[in-house]
Amino acid sequence: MNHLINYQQLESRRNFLGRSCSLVGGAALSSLLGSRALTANDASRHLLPHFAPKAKRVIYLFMAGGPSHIDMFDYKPKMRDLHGTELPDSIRNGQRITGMTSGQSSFPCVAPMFNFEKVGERGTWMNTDLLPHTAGIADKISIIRSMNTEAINHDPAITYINTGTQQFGHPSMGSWLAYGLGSLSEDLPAYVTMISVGKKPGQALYARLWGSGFLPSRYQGVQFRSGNDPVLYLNDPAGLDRGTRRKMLDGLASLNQQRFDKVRDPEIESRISQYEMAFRMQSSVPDLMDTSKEPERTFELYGEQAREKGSFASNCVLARRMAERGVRFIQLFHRGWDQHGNLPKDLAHNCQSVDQPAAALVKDLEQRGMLEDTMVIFGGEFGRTIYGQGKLTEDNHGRDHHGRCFTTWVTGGGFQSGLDYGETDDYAYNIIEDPVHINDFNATVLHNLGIDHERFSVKHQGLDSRLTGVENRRVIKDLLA
Amino acid sequence: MRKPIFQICLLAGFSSSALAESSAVDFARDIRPILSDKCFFCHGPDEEHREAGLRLDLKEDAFADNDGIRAFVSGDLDASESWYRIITDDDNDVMPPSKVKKPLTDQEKDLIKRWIESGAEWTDHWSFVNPEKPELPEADSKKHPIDQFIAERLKQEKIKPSPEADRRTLIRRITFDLTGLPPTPEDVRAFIEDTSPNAYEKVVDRLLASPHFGERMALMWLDAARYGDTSVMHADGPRDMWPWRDWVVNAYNNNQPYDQFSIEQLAGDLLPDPTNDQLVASGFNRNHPSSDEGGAIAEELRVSYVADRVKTTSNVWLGLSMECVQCHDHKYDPVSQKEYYQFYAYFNNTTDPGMQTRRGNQMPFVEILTTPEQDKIDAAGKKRDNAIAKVRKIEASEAKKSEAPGEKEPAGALQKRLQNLVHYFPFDDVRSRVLVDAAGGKHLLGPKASKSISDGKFNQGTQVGERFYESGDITEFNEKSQLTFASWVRIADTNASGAAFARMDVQQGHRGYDLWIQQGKPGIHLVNKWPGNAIKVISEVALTPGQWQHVAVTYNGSRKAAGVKIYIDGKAVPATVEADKLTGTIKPTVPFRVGGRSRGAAAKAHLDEVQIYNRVLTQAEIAWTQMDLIKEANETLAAKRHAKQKRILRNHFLSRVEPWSVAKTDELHARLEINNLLSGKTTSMVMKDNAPDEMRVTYVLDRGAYDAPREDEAISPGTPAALPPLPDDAPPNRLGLARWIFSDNNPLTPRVAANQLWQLMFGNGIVRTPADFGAQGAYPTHLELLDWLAVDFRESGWDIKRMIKQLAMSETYRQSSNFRTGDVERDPDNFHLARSSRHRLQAEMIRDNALALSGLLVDELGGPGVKPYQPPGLWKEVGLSGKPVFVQDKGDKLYRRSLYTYWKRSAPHPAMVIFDAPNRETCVIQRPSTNTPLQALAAMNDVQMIEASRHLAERILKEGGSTDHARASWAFELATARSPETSEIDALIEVYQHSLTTYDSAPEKSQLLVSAGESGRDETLKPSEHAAWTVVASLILNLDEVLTRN
Repeated sequence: MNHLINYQQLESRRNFLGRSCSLVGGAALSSLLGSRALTANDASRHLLPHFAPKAKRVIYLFMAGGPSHIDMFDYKPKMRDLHGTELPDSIRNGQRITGMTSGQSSFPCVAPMFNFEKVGERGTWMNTDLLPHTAGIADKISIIRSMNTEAINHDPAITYINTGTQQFGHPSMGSWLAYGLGSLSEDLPAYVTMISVGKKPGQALYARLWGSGFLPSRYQGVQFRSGNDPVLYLNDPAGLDRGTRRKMLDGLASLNQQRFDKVRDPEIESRISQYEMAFRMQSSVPDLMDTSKEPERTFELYGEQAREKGSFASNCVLARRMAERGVRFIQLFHRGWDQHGNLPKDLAHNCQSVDQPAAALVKDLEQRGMLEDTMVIFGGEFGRTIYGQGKLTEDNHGRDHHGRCFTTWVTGGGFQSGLDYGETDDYAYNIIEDPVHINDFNATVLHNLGIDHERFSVKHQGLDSRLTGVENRRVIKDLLA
Repeated sequence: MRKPIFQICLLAGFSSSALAESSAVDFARDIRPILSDKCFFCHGPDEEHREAGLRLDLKEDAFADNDGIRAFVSGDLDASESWYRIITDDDNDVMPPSKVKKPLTDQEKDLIKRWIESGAEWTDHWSFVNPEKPELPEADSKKHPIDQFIAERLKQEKIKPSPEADRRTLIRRITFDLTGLPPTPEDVRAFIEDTSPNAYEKVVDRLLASPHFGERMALMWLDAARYGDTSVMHADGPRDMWPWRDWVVNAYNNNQPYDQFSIEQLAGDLLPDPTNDQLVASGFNRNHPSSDEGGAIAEELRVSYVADRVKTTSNVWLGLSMECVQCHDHKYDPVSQKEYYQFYAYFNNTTDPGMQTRRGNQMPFVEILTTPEQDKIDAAGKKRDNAIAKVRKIEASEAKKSEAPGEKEPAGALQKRLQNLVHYFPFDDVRSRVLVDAAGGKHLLGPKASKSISDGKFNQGTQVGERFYESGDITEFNEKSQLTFASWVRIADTNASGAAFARMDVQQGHRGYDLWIQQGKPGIHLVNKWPGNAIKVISEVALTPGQWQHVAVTYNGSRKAAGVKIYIDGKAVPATVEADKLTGTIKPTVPFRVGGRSRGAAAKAHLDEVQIYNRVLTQAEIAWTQMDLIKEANETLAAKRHAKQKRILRNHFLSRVEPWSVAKTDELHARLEINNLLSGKTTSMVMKDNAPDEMRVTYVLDRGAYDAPREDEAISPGTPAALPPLPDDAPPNRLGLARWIFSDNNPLTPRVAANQLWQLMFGNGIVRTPADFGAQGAYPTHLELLDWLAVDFRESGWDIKRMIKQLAMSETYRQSSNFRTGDVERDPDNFHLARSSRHRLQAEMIRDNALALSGLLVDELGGPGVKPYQPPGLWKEVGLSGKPVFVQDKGDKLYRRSLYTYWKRSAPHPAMVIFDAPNRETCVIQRPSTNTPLQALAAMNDVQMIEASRHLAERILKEGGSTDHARASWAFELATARSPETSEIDALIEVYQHSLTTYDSAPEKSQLLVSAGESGRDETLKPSEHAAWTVVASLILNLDEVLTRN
């Protein structure tokens, strides 16, 4: 700990925040990982948080590939009548269509091939075939059916929602938070991502989705993995035991200290503490990842799949453990939601993997009293079209990408619960009430963390760059508790 | 955290330091940055969003009298409206308005106050004024010019420069800075022992002449050029741009002047008679991300590529941030949206399409032949020529024998049809591997004869699917071609699906054509890119299994499915249209194939008498195609035979002559081998402009949207008015732009370039926002020095090595980097350069250093990217459908310099990323430098580092002497270039002895540690000693001093 304190003193004395910039302390207990929360030129503008936060952390369950909002959350009984009818031009309204279906000569509407019921006290529609557990927490979550994005293809869309812009080179949301708020943990990163795969890997992911863009790379998401090395290079090499490692680090520290005494560059002391931190991570991370001591009821709650390393369910358990240990932003990517064809079966498979664990995570956090300061978000980069793609049969079809509206659910950490927000037309194609642009949504997430998204900016290439981009975006006040 | 990222921080940090307080207010340094950051957003160059018609970026406007109100009045605070607006409590009047959330700090207010009071002197933005070589501060001094400028500032600040670094530190510093590698012990010794006055200069000259100099420089340039080995978007598939990367290394090594180096990269393709190298160089602007996403809209992507080229070009050469101007006038710098599109127009006429490929390079590209490839092609060419000579000889003696008398009068209609018969495969007498094209002479090479011959409709036929026949150079059809395919077909069962014959590239969107059988129903594909751009028509009538039936398909070149007709046994059959949208070429680059598109995609069917016509045959004519053409020709009166009939008979006859078959097989085999070699040849993407009559017209895109061109005004190529005009004779293309960038009056180019090179040597630029020299960028720490260097660089003919040497020879560079008492408080960021910089080695150098010290480094230059060790699963976790699969290289490729590590941009090598390498999706001029525990883990545990440690341990045991003391000392000196203190040796020995005790009692652990990686070890070394020294070696490789350029 001495190193830690020294390091903080040194770093607050010098370095680029130096004299005119001010270290953000605030709510964040700064630690060594992603903790040098720094401000731009004017301390008063950037002192974080800007106001009292409702949430301390975020767990973002990101369903990559474009989950079908129609088949999960945005159902209308009238869709049954529309089944097989051509999508009217008045609904399509000049909407550009991806190259995958733009060659189709007709656009027949396809009603979900599942059973839907009104669930929860408010009676909100949900696919009870596929989402029975989510239906069970309907009163705890708010469902936003009016999310929207301009992007209609995966790469730009997933980049847009995660970094606030379709252009490359910008920090991801988690990086912004790691940079702005720092970590709550002394031996874990501020921003962790984990990846699980549905039936097939499907669409690609990219390091930029958790990258730090133009922020220093220490703020990038650290990917935790299910294999032997839960963090890359975590394990000592085969044949080098802990005792030897300790001895080696003692020697290293001694030599580095001797060097510091001569050179007096504070960076050397910082390096000494980074090595100590690495040593601590070598125990804290395996401890975090070891769910074998979780009680039986954990697996009852999250489902048997939670015993399978690398599954979404297992990652949800780990997400809760990380939240407990102070990780600021936890993002679980679950791949394989791009149902251009074979939607009924593949969607069922995906839902089967995520429904119970996602609902369990909410319940678990609530039971532990953590839901009130933990935001949980469940959603993807866009939705899917009401019209079918490929051959429509009695029990099979596909859907193309759809950015004009899609559904995300949220709970905890300053969000209202049990709310339905936004409404789409009978085709779940256009928003007719309360649109929420993805950057409005991002602004709202920041708000819950005590951040004014307009003031939270970093100078990049002469511009005040923000997570929420250059357009005017707004916090969706109605979603706030 | 050493390097500045938050430029405005530094800006404020620098301008408001003691300097500003101790000296007069300087408008350019102190005031313009405030106006820019706080006022220009509403009162700047952006016309559309300008408030109250007030503009504060231009002097005339800022001091203008507007109905008696003047923003600034020299020397008169009370008359300056701005001052009232700044200090007022009235929320309606205060500036900046509170809703903008950008209040002025007290310090900023004070600066503005003092500036107005002292006369409000106004100067143009410093970087837009052409630099002049300033007077040297000490005109008569022999001091290096750089040191004169630095000393002048230090004098003002009352700081003394640091003493020169010792020679050991110095040679390690300059060797890393110029080659990215450590000095060898011999290098160090030679320098220390060299008593000549120019000993250091000799070192610098030696390093500048090293081939590793080019590699080191390329490290910087590749970040700027957003170089990668994959295409970034969607599938992030592979591409080959390494010939461009090698061009960069060579250009630096040959000391190509910076203007030529740049002009060739911006417009090498437009130079008169460009060499292949110059074309390759133009690939700079093909390095941007590209997409193959199926649903993508090609024009949207193409526009994004052009925008990327504008951004990268303006960042790299002009230090201008232009990207925001894609959507609106610049908020801070004098670049209007229209001017942006003038600049954009230079890049908007390239031929490369928006949709790129998942596998390999997209057009346009040039082919690169490596020497071994050329050797193989030459060898195959010789084989081919020998075989051709044999074939000719046989034909000369045998061909006449094909003439038979015949007795029938020819039918007129048949003659007309024969005219358009381009290929005819009778499948008779397939005795060798030659499948004779009796009409076209484009014989195909097939499998061993016996394998695929079957009973045919007439004589023999062939079985589809088992093997296929291919030829590299058979007639191509395009999307507007007329054609008729005809063939006898016998399907095995009703499930038969696949191509009867095809010329189709299944890897490239199925581009091409085929005669297709789908569940026993014949049809056709004509494909640009499946499925969005293709015609597919399939018969509604199925063939009968086990029966020979005749199939014909015609297409009239209309690019409509309606232009396709299908016939079975001579009768037109109803057909289903499955795709009906075709634009653009259907020409693939793969060979024509009978029996399938590619291995494994063939129908279970037999074929006979395949005939291909380059015209739509009528129904009546199609009846004729069912006959045995050889029989018909044979029976026709010799004197009245059509030329094509003669040719058919001749080829048919020759196919029965065994020596001809053998020789022809050799010829075709050699041809195919050449084709495969050529098609597998490395290419490198280049720039190419549209032909003059196909030039794209550029329009301003409303809010930058690709589908919202303002078509009322065509935009011509041009440069921003705030910068010097183009020469009158400048061509309106990229070459004109490139020459303008290097014109003598361009104020930005030489400063930006000099700053980049300064940054390379000193860790930070003189302008600490190296990609932004605009109003929002950082003010130079030493403007006069920068100008002096810029002009000097330009006057030298843009001589890069000379410039680097200038910097290296300065005392400023040679100073010690040790912190002195008070340095941390006085100048932690080293703005004043009273000491040399000290920074962590960049990612590549950390790995290369370990490889070099261990003796593992394979330092050959150039070639395709290599895939050294990386943790498993990284590509699979993110890859599209889990693809492509990472296959680690073996042997030497594990130990190449990191410059050559394969750069997959959606998942770059983790050991690079952890040490701050960018993902190279966008242009980066300066990497951040962080210090994290993940770096400690990577440096300690990456198998590459452990393997290097155990090899370093081998060297210690063999070369380091015989005592522990000698060995520890040798290893330390090897890695740091200096002799260790006794206390340092003691610390190492303590670790060694502790480890030795451990390993002596655990031989299995020793064995594991000394087996890390794939290289062998010297088995004569005692495992426990080897392991214990491996621990020490790893410690040494992790020393701050070793990870740092001191």
